[in-house]
Amino acid sequence: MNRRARSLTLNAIVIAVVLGLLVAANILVSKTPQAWDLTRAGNNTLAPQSVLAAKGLTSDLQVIGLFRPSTNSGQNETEALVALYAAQSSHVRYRSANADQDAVDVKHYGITQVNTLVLDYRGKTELLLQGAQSEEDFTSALLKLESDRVPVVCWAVGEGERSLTDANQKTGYTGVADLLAKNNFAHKEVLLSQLTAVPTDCDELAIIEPKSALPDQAVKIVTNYLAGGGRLLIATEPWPRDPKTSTTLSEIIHPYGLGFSGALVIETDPSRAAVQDPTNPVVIDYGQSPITKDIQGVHSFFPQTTAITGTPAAGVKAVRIAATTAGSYAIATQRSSLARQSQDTSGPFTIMETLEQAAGSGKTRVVVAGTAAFAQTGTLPPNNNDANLELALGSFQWLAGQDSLIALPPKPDRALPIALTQQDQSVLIFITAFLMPGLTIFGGIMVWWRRRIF
Amino acid sequence: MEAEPSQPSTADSLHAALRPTGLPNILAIARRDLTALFVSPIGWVVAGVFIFLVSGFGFIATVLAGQAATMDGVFGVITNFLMVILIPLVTMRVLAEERSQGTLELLLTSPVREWELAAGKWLGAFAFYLLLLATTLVYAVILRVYASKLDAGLIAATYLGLVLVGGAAIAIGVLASSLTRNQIIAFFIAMAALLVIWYAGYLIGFFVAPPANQFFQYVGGYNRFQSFSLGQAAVRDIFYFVALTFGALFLTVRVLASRRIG
Repeated sequence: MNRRARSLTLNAIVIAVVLGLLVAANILVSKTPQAWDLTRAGNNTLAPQSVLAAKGLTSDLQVIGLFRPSTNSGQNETEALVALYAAQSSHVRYRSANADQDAVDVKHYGITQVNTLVLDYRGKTELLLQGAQSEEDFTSALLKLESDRVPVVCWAVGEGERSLTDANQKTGYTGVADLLAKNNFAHKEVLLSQLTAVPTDCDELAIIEPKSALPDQAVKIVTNYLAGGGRLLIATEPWPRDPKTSTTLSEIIHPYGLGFSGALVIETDPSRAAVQDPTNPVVIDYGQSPITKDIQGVHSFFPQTTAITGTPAAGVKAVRIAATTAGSYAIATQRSSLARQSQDTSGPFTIMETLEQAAGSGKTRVVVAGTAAFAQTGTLPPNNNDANLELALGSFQWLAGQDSLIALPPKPDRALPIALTQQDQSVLIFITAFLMPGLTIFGGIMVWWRRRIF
Repeated sequence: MEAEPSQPSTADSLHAALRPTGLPNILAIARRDLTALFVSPIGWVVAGVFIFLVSGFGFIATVLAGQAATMDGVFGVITNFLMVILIPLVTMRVLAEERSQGTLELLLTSPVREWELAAGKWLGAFAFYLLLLATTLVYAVILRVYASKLDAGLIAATYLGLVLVGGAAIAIGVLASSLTRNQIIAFFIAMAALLVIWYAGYLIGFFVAPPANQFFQYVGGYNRFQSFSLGQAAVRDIFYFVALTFGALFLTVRVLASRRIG
């Protein structure tokens, strides 16, 4: 081997060794979570509650980011957040996948939207949709997953209520049964007419569109249950066959100032009703509530709804979750023509409302819906991917008190809103688009000129 | 009568002390290259185009049109345009020109060591990059005037990331320039390498099944920069770019060494 060949061989060996060392060092350093958060508000620092939640993990938490490649998927921010939790606990395991290609995870976790974050812990799952992947959302989900407590929804039966086993693809309620199961709720049927009190293991009670009037005893035990801090989801229908049905349901919520009108609501604004169906109001703007925090601007449907009437009683905190437009009207009694008539009452109408009142050391909470159809299978995925799922799930979670698991102060946005006047804008355009490039060009010309002269 | 030998000045003493470190040679080469950029049209053209694009797409389109005080648009232009196009434009000539003009051989036979030459070339281009980057501070100052709650820490972290990214990108450009005597080829080699390092990991990571995608997502420069853009200075990301810079400069040194052997 001549001298040149030896030198080249030595060169190659040195290159391989140094690059190998650099790669090895990178692999080692990649394990360190050490980082400095330079933001003023600590955007990259977990709140103490979040740190505790992460440290409370006793087995692996599989976090799966199902994103679609795009600059506005929020993937970077979400992954940076997950990394903060992973820095606190070695149990946090993250992997990402292309939401359009990973059919296995999409099917397994029932993913309906891209850019969803899945948290899978000890067989329980939580899904965080895009726009709801903040630290508060993540920690709340974590606390839910860590909790061994499974809220029980007691489902009233016996008076022709909607059944969780009704598999009709449009009007059935198996969609709600699936929803409850996937979100770690248990449910059991209760025959109110044969009880003396709502069972103590019920975290919430659901009375969904009974076809006949509730017996007085049932009304009484539900009223007592609520007075003691109970939680109730109550929904009815317009034009009940037995008018007493609406009356007895109204009696339950009467102490809080509300009732059901029993009239059918007609939405005249085509942009706020399902296509060619004015009996199916569409809601886009919602009242401020934990139930609606992620669905502002997203459609939800309220087929065949009646109106919620009355004014909340003193001490009751009421939130109008959904309402129709001022152009809507309500038909009090059944008739074939839905065209507006003089005796019809004018909107807007409240069609979903929440009530909250202090009761001893606890809180009474009621979700009142003008229609049971807002959560029927036909309005939930896969039949409909709008906000009805979130409304239904949010209602069960709010009633179970899962909204108050954590409340963290919001962190400031990256982009602060500014209000620039026309004059400000003109000045800034002059400085940035003309003055700065102009000075550069002037500098270049000066250099060229000086070189030419000298 | 014999003249007394003059006492060496402080500057001479300092120069003599620093000579074994190679710093005087590095600084001399860097100064020469930086000056060359400003006496040739290329430096001014690059600066003018850069400022125009940053103003148009990064500032006016984002801040004025969006009525939002954010430097994201400015930083976006830098990472998407300056890094992959303008940096190769600046670095393409640093060694390729020396070769095409036959001055590289002169340099390699002078007392300048290969690593001093590589570091000096890198430092000259890096200083030019820092000057370009410094012009964008004007936008931060303007935003601060209109939005007093502007997060200076977030912006500082992103600048730190941009300095590190720029250092690595320039080192890759210098390496590309050492491989050929043709400046155009050097430009395309550098641009291709930067595109691959910056985006390939990010894109491949999306189309490769786990767990292999984690590797690609980690090695993608774009992904490593994200922590800085979120206001974080992560040790692993700082190390990644420093290692990339060092690795590229080391390869440049070996290429120059092989030329000397040749």
